[in-house]
Amino acid sequence: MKRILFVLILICTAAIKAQAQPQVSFFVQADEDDWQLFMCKKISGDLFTGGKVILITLTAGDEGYGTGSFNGSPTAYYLAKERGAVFSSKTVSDFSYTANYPFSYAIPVAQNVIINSKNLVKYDYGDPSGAGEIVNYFLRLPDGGFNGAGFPATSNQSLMKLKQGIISTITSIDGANTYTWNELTNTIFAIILSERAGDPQFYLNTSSLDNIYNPGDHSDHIYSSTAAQEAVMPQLAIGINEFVFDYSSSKPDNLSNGDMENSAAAFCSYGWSLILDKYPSPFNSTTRAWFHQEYFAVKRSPVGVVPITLLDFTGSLQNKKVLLQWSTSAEYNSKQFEIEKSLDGITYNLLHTVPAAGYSTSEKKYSYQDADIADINYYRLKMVDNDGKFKQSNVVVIKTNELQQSIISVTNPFSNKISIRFAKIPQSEITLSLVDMNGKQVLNKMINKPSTRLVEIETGNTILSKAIYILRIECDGKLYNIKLVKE
Amino acid sequence: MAKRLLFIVCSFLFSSGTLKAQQDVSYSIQAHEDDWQLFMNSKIVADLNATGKVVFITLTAGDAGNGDGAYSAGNPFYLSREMGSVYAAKFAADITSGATPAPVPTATIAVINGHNITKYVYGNTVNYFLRLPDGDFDGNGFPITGHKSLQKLKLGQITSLTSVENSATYTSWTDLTNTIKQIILTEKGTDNQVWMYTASLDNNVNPDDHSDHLYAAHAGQDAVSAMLWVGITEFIDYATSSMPDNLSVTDHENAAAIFNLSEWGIIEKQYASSYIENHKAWLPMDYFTVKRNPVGNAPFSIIGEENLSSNNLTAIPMIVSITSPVFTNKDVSMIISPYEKGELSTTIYNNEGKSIFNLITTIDSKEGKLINMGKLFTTKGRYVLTNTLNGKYIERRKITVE
Repeated sequence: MKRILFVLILICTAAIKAQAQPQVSFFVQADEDDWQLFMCKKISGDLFTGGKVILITLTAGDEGYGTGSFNGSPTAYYLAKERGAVFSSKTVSDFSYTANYPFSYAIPVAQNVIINSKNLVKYDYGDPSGAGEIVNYFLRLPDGGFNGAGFPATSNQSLMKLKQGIISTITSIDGANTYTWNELTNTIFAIILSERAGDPQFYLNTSSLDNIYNPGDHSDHIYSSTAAQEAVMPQLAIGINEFVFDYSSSKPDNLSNGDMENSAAAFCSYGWSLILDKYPSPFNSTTRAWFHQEYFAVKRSPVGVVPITLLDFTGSLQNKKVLLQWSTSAEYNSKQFEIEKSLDGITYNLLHTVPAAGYSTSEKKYSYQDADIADINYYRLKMVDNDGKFKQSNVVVIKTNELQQSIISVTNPFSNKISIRFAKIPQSEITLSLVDMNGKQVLNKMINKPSTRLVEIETGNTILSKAIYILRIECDGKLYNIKLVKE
Repeated sequence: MAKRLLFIVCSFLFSSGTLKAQQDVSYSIQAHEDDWQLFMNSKIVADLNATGKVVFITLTAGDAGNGDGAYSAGNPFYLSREMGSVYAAKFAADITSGATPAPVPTATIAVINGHNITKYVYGNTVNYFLRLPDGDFDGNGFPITGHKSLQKLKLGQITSLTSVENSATYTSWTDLTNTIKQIILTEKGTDNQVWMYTASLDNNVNPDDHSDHLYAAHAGQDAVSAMLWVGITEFIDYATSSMPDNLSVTDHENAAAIFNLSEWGIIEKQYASSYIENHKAWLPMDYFTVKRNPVGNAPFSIIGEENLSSNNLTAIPMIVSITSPVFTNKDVSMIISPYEKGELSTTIYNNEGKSIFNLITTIDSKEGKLINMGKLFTTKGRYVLTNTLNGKYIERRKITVE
């Protein structure tokens, strides 16, 4: 069904240049070994067809050891588990996607990436084009234990407590990041946007929140899934598959020999990392019981497309101007970017319109320079599709406390009103006078500490002939002389 | 037929005197680094589960025509396969022992029968890698290793076989089998009866097998032909993939995991994975038959105080089996594996160094020979037995009579 929809979309966007894109799929789980035990067949299948798989693991799975170790291991338990997930990722990619025969890629090394202002650990394995690629993100949040009570070593924090408001923030065990619940879901969505490449539709795979279908599950499983599903809920182009996790061992075997062997191999590679560092082998009767089943249900099929993948939207102050920059990783049916600006963060007005690429599968960069800036400037992007649908970006705030007072613009020529825009809101009273070329003052006004940067003076009943005048402005201890033309 | 009779006689001779082994030892002799994982997995794991020791003797480098070269990130292909086998052995040992996992073992060089052989020891597993050239499926070998193969050595088409990295040259088939024999004796510890696992040499049972599989089995079985205390279990190799699944769920899981570890050695060095359908088809089943039960007892341990051969009078013990323990007024027999035809002089000395028995035996072939010395002893104590073959091969063993 998804494929049919995908084809229809491509037909509807006839102007779109046909280009093969890897199918992207996202798997969000609590622990480093969840996907091998509960979702391995799906992952292997996605890779086999040339897809790209992104694994987002929310907790450190530290089982209360925090950043510590045991059994005399020289390596922190959570790091051995992370490496295990990376090992099993390579294992599954290598046996599922064999286009690189007779070679395979090197075991990836950790990268630190900033996403949604969080410093995340990422491992990227495989073909950079995306086919057969498998990417791991580790958020390293505290293990909440089965009941979500947490562990003393990590101040009894847990995803469950965060969601339920029992705690307001949760900090990764390595101290790198602290999240509110909204920051967590926004970070998950930001990861998804940054990794989706050109795929217009894709699936989130996670544990089921249906207590009848997936009863008695681990608290971290449930709340990882809750976070992920909330992250994508407004995006109907992202489908959701819900998997049975812990309870699957109570259900009948449904995997073929080959799929069971794949699951065993994936989990074996995970366990290999542990036993390399003196941790007990996790290949025991409990975990083996999960090799033989994999159950999932489609909770939501994807509808439509995610119109634009905005990688980032940033602003910076440069030479008394604001440089706004943004980039997209993919665009489908996009029309334009409307830059909206506000001085109070509440009321936004259209500042400028930038045409969009329309269709793009590669990264596109855009920029706009705003010279008319105030002390505090709020910007946001409105990303508009050809069908009129739109989406708004995050808000960029530029403060210009260091900005020196100056005159930004003056109505010139003028008729019966002169508008003066200051760089900053004047901090004192303003004296304005208009002097003709004979040195005669024809207009004089005083304005007491205006509330905005824009000051307007009416010439009113004063009859001014069409000629050249000098506007003298005294403001914040400075004197400005500006030549104006009367129409 | 003569051998069969010998086995029956031996079983009577030694039935009352078999000592329980402190640790059972089994030997897996295979051509390639991943053969035991694919064809013998359940047996290996069962032995380890029973706290036995498993010795893997891998004869070829499995280099697939690359010799000691590489086609990936600078690591020779055969070394990646070796490490895979070591990883698989460690994983099997870890899941069966329950002990705290130890680090991956490092290689040592063992000098066996005058040859340098790479050896890894982990837990109850030992790996020996002889690194002989891959002979390819048909035994014709590869250009990079001079088209040499086990098959050609056995059939006399070549006179020697050198390991791919030139660490050892085997100057004859017998040189190779004597080396395997020496490994078996070195590793048997105090076990009096051991098992050898090889590919089946019965073409009806194990048709269309790889040449290296078959000739590795020949080498292993030739090595123990006269060592009747070594039982032989023959496994079906390639043909199992067309046979019904027969492993338990647990054994099947183990096979998948252990073969995966073997593959990990390869993929971590950036070679492509073989964990694909044509190999996985061998995971759900193991088929084997007992070709020969062990009969009699191994010679006295060559370790510890019983070893009087430390002066290396003979490189390979001639005595392959002897009544043990020995009792007063009971028959004493031994089986020898002679190096050549000729005359064997057997003398027994008492604790004072006085000769109390002498026997001359004509050796008319190199086949194993049973020698019954009758009721030799009337007094308990410690004695020394000396065998001298043609006046030049001398072997001495200490005997304790109870």
